Amino acid sequence: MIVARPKSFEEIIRLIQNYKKVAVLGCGGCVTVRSIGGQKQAEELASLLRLWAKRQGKDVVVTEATLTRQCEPEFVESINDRANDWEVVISLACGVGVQCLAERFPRIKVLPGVDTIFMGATIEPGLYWERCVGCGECIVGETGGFCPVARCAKSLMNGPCGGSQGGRCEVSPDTPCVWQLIYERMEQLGMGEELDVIRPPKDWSVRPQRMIMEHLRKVDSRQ
Amino acid sequence: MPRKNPHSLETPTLEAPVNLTAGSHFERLLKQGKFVVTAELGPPKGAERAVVEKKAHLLKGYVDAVNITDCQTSVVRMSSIASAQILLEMGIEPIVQMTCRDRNRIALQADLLGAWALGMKNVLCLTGDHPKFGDHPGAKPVFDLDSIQLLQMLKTMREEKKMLSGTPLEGAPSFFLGAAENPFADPFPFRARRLAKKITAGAEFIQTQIVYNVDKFVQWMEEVRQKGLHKKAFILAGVAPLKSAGMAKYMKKNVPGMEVPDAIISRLEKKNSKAEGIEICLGIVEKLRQIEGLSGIHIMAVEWEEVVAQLVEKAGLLPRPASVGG
Amino acid sequence: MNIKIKGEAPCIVACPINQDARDYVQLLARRNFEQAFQIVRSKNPFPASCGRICTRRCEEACRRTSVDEPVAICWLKRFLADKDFTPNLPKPPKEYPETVAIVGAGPAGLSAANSLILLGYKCVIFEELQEPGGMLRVGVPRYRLPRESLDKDINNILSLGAQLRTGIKVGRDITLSDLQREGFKAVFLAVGSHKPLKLDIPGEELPGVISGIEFLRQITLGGGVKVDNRVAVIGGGDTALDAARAALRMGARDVSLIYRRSMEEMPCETVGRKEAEEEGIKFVLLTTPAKIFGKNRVTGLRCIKMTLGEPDNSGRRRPIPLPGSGFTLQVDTVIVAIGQSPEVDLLSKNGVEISEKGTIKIDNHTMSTTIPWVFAGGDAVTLGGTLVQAIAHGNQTALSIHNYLRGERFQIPVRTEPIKELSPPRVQLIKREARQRMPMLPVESRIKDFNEVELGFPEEQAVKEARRCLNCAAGAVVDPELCAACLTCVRVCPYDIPQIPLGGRTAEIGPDCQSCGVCVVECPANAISLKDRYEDMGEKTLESVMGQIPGRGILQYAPTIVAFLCQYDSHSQTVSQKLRENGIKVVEVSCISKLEPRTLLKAFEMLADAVVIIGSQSGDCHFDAGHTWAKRRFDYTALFLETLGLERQRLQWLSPTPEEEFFKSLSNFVEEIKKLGPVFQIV
Ligand SMILES: Cc1cc2nc3c(=O)[nH]c(=O)nc-3n(C[C@H](O)[C@H](O)[C@H](O)COP(=O)(O)OP(=O)(O)OC[C@H]3O[C@@H](n4cnc5c(N)ncnc54)[C@H](O)[C@@H]3O)c2cc1C
Ligand code: SF4
Ligand code: SF4
Ligand code: SF4
Ligand code: SF4
Repeated sequence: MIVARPKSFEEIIRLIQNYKKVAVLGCGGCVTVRSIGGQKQAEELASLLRLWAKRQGKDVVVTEATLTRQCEPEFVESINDRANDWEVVISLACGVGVQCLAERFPRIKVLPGVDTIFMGATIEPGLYWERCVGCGECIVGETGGFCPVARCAKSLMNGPCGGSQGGRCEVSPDTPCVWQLIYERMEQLGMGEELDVIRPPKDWSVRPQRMIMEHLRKVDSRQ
Repeated sequence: MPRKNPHSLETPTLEAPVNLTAGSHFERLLKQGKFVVTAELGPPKGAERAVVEKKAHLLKGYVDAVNITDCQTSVVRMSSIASAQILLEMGIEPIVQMTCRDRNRIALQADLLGAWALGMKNVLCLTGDHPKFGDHPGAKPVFDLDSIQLLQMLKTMREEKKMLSGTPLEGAPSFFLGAAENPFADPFPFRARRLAKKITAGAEFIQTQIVYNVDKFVQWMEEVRQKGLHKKAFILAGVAPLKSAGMAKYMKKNVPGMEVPDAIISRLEKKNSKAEGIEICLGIVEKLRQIEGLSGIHIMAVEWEEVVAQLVEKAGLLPRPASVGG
Repeated sequence: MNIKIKGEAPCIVACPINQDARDYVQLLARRNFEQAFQIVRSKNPFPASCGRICTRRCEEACRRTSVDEPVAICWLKRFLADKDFTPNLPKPPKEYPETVAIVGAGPAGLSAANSLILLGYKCVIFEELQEPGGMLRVGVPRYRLPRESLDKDINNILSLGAQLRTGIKVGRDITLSDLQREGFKAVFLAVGSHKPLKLDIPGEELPGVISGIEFLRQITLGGGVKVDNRVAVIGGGDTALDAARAALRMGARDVSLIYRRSMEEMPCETVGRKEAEEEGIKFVLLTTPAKIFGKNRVTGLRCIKMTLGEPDNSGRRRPIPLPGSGFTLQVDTVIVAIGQSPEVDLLSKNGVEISEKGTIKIDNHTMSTTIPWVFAGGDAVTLGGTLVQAIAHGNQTALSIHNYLRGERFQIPVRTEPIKELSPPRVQLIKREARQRMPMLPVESRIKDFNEVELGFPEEQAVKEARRCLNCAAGAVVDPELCAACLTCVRVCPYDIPQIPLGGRTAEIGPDCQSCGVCVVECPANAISLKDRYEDMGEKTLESVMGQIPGRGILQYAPTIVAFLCQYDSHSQTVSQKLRENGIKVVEVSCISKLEPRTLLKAFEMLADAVVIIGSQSGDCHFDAGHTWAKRRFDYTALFLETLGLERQRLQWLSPTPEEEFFKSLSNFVEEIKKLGPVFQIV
């Protein structure tokens, strides 16, 4: 899932300073799952903004709502009616959701309320870890199920750098060296020799990427 | 002028012709089977040419080639190619170090084409430290290629006269390629295999991480020999004198992939002086020279370049064979 | 949200009137005594009586038993009943023209009257005796059920408007046909079971031999009954036990209770039996009387020892006489209390069919006799009946009569299944909390008179006992529409309750939920709520207390401070009083683990200048993990305040113990807040 973390309150108020009608929009997707941008967090931020405004002697109306998912046009549509009442929207969704709102409501100032940091897994409750960067060319099938692109600090393709020590990555002692993991797993799987093959440079071609699934596209049923 | 050393085993004579890739002095000596000495020079954190010159003077005549580091430990310094040019002008042979940290495949190729054009013949291909350790920790780490891919790219340029993309080169560089290896890093059983990968990719010489733990190095060399890698590439062991017990402990603790045995630390604790550090280093060099398949040593006296002359002399490695060009 | 409860708390299912034990116990734990009482009264017209002498099937079924001991549900009911709240019963939705005749003013008859009136019928109760109450008045002795308590129950029923006509014996003074002729459209026979069974042994007719119910009745009605020094009571039921204990109180020195089987088989209540033992009643077990001696009066009792054989129809082992084991007891009085049967002769003459057991024959669901407009219930249809069974019959018959009179089919109530017992690993996660002991009169003084033996729980004890309830089948629920399957609830629950079943897409919370509220607060999707209608997580209470903020004078500033505190906590009363004295708004929640950060922020939004959480660490917290969670949310909220630039002191955590220190820190806190001035500069 996508993992994000709340932006500082200072940053948020700096951006909404001059507005009177503010909405805080949660998303029912990943950010809910990570307790960062669900209904509860939207309510908390809205409450905080109202307190702030009141203290500033500002007359600001803050509302909150949560969309099923901000990255789907149909769900974004669901706030159409209310959107007219807002000057600025703080989205607690990931960067994707924020942009969907911004595209749909060109007259509203859309701000991210969180910093999207990575795609990752829950290691244990309250601890999430990056696992994928969406590189567009998944190689974990050849690296023992561990991604060196996302999990090696240097995205090395041909084995560990000289800083790998005791299974730890040179950049941080609490990060395992993914190449150590890859090496062990490949040996365990009897695929160790594959690591001796030189892997060519990766294709980092065009961003933004686009994907089309022809069979899911709209069918024009007009005569 | 290099001083003559009566105990020197080698004499600067022209040997039988050997097959040369780049034709550098360094390459020739290795291929002639000489025990080669290289040293490291760290360019200044600024534009002061004189600093490079001063350090180079300290090394001239004591080593066969000088490695110019590429923003070592991710700290911004004068570029290795520019510094190497100063050395060339001084008649010293440089080994240009090139990391994958700051340049993508385009910049790597462009810079190295230029280096060749300037007359630089030796390149040490490195992955590079992570920017996190340097003075610009927020820098975007590039690592578009890794050291193995860099080697392979340069080898292809040389042999197929093509860029990585396949575009034909108007004049192909024909570098004498080298790689670094840390015999003390993990996973240990994979290190020699990774070295093999580097050699397959194009490395003809290998400069290792500083050796303090000679036993472990011997063990690694054994594996290297088993795989016949010492026949495919020239291996130079990294050495460096320790200035103090404090420095030894610091390196042991903070430098990734650095192993400093406790025996050395306690020796320095007993007699804490630079002289003792040099003694220890000489002891290590002595032992290294016994190892079959080792082609030389690489002295990494970071910011202590003046010690190199002393070390080389005391180790009985003088005089250095004269450079053909110099 | 549509909440479907699969299964119900066993205490509720086990109760013949499906008294909502869990609900009133939960309310009691929150000190909402009035509402708790009204819940009791809504199904039970005899709260004060039931709260004392009920056979407590709820407690037998209580799931808390697998943790330690059952919740003292019955005594909690008594606590509520003794608070003397006025019942608040719904007015009948409609007034019907029919009048129903009820025969017998015992609990069955009175309960039927209660229900019929609430349904919109008039009724007239005919009672043979001069006073209503049936066996509760003339059977159960006062030391267990004081007259005032019984009268309170009865008066509350009668005040609804039932007409009571005492001194009339139906069948003798007036026949069933007379009643029909007088215009009664239905009759409920709740005549009880008052005819004592005989031993059928020689000497039973001697003076000094008396039946248990007669003996007890005379004590109540003042029939001049006397006992001598040595009394033998024969039987093992409640009547026997009560007769024995009453005999002691009447001055007997030496009372023996003679029972055919062993202690385990005794049908009487265990609590009562223990109390009787304490009082000095001798239990002569595995013994049966064979002959009563005496010339003009009883002087001795010949007995035979018994042994237990194969189980009989009742499932109890059949006693078999041991040959040659006869012995004689020297006694002056013999009280025979081996059971009673309904007096049905007169009624059967009136056409009512009688079963083989000698009870009135009825349809078990509609309670109607073989005569369609005549119904029967209570002890008259059940041998060895109980108070709550009689109430159940009364309630059920009222409904059935209503259906009959309205020409509707009687709806057999759907039985909800009780939820399963707690699994052993879960039992391990639940805190042990000992059952509260009932304060009692000391033995020496209680055998001197008929004063009530059990004194009732004081408030703190009642609350403490009530919070032991596990709130079975009434915990948290997940709204599947909102659940994002984030697993937060699964991970935070201290009792391992929520689960996302294999292949499931939303979380599910089973009936074992302890209602600690941890997951409710942590669920990021706002998908979990507590089923419990009485739980507002402090939100509504906050609104209501903040509604009372007086307009703020410009010259004189008094800070508005809100305190959240655990109403479960044993210090809560003193603390809450102290807080109010200090002009602090008090929001009580059942465990501070139910406080949402947004609720704390809401307090500030509602113009609070400071918020204080009173968090006990006394170790008598019902939810141990709750404290940790509450603390985390407190810190989390504190960070919010910090980002607002609000002084850190405006959010405080105070421990209510030790009391001295608490009072001191509280006044320091109030002073500090005064100095800080208002959060909002009102212009
Ligand atoms: C000593 C004793 C102790 C008990 N202890 C307990 C206990 O601890 N817990 C418990 O749950 N139960 C106990 N019981 C049982 C409980 O009291 C009865 O089950 C309950 O009272 C039955 O209620 P009822 O209305 O069916 O009959 P009753 O209470 O017997 O009431 C019947 C009423 O009908 C009247 N009546 C009878 N015939 C006529 C007629 N023809 N016309 C007009 N009026 C008539 C009677 O005078 C009586 O008032 C005890 C019973 C006794 C005797
Ligand atoms: S230590 Fe391992 S994970 Fe870290 S950068 Fe080096 S190879 Fe990658
Ligand atoms: S714990 Fe409470 S709800 Fe559960 S059975 Fe016992 S009294 Fe009823
Ligand atoms: S915490 Fe809420 S959203 Fe998450 S699984 Fe539980 S009920 Fe669903
Ligand atoms: S309310 Fe408490 S006991 Fe019930 S499911 Fe939630 S966390 Fe578990």
